Amino acid sequence: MGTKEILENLKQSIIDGNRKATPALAQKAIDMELPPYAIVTDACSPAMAEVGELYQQGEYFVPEILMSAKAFEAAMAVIEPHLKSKRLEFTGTVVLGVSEGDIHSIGKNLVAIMLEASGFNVVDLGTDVPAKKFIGAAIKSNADIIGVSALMTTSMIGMKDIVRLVKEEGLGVKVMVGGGPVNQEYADSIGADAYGRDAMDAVRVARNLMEDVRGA
Amino acid sequence: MQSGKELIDTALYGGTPERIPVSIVSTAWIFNNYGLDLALVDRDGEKMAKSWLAFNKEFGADSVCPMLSPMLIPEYYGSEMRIPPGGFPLLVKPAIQEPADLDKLEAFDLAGEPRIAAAVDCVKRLVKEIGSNTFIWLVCIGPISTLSRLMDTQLIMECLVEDPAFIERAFAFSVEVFKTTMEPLIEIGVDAIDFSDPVASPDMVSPRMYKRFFWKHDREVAKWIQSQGVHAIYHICGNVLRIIEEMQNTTARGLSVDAPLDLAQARDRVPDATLIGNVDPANIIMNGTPDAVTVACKEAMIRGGSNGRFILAPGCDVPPTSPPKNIDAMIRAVKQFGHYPIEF
Repeated sequence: MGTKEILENLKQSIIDGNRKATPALAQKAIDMELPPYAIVTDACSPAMAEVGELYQQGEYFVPEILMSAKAFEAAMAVIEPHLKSKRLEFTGTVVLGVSEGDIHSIGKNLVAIMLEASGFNVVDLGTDVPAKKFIGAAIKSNADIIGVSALMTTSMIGMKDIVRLVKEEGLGVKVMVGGGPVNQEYADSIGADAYGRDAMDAVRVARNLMEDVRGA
Repeated sequence: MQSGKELIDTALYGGTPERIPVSIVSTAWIFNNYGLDLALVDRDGEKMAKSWLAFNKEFGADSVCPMLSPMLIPEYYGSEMRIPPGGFPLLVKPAIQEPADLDKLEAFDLAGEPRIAAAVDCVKRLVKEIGSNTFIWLVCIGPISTLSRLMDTQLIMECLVEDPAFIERAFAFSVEVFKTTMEPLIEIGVDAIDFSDPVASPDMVSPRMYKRFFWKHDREVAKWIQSQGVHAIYHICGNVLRIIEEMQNTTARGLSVDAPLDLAQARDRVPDATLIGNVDPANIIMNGTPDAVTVACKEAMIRGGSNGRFILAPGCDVPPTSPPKNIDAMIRAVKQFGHYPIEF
């Protein structure tokens, strides 16, 4: 199997969500002494980008994306120990979590994996996260963006507190929000900087916010 | 003049009532509004009934919507749940951690279950007090989504791809449990059972996967409910336009639809279905003003109900902190603007 073929097979395995076959393909690429960073940039990340496109086209839904995310993680578990250092430069740092009173994690997990696949450093706070914890983590990690997810109408209210605390603390961090009941109108009403419709849109939104951060 | 019960019955049988009926489908809001805690009230039939009777008197909607506690089945089988103050139930630790755990679960035994007894007590009181004129609309979580409180939804999603045989078994098990828990309520005079299946949403699974795994079970549930002489009302969250024909093919007499659905497009796809919805629970009912509620209700009525077969309702369960004046605005909207022919 040649270099091109192994990378293509690895990429396709991730797209197919085959988490059983993917680690062996990643290991094979390592054994062939391909540069680990190139395996990520030429196979793993493009695979997740294509998964995102398949979602946008209505081909993939949550189960398919989840399995691709699992396969991506399985590949990265093989490759990461071989990377001499973590990425020299992240696209940006995102503190991510599910709003307080809510434990629905699937959407947040998908956002995390898509952001990571796009070169972001993700600080994942998990679910049921109080507003103050977002602020503390953003300060500690010198984050560029806070991303908040909520699936429930009762927990989306907590997003407002995060936006307020960011302003009160005078942090330069941007706040992006998303999740089932959230829409652009709600994001605007609480003063959030951006709204992401889904995990793929969150990547676009985060990239746009990074332009604002860098331009500030 | 038709009673609320007659209005809803007419709409569910596909006719055109005197005016568009309204149903405030709510599990947590009703108790929050009357100072009760959802975490405690589901074992007290008298308090649940008193809340709905007070609502019926104060707001004058066409239905009351008692519930079978969403905590019942998950906690019976060992899932750990919690309800945050003013919130909806959350799964903390699922009973099924891996597929093999399903085989450890036995058939549901109704004996001594205080939440069943409370739901029966509540419904009996409502039937006795107001059942002749007010529609008794029982709200519950459907069997497929109940499974998402027995096991993590992410595990369900993974098994849909990697272990479809397990998913088939798990769904079939949950359907049997659902029927067992519903039987005592059917016997005492509910008019409809509204079962929700948010996990089947096109926001989550593809129409292809919905048709393969979900549809037949939800159809079985709808047909079983209606074979008992009760209307089946079927709710799926999100924009269900791509599966609305399949939803209708379950035979459920009412399709309860969420705010993202364009009612006019849905009406084109399923002209004969009775649509129920779809005022935005978060952005209109919880966060909007009464005027905004009125505008949204008029829009829903004209887009979904101008030719009958329509019941105005929230797109999904009313958020617990929604202002009562917005609920009042929904009910006023049908009474002021919902008489046929619909003309504003």
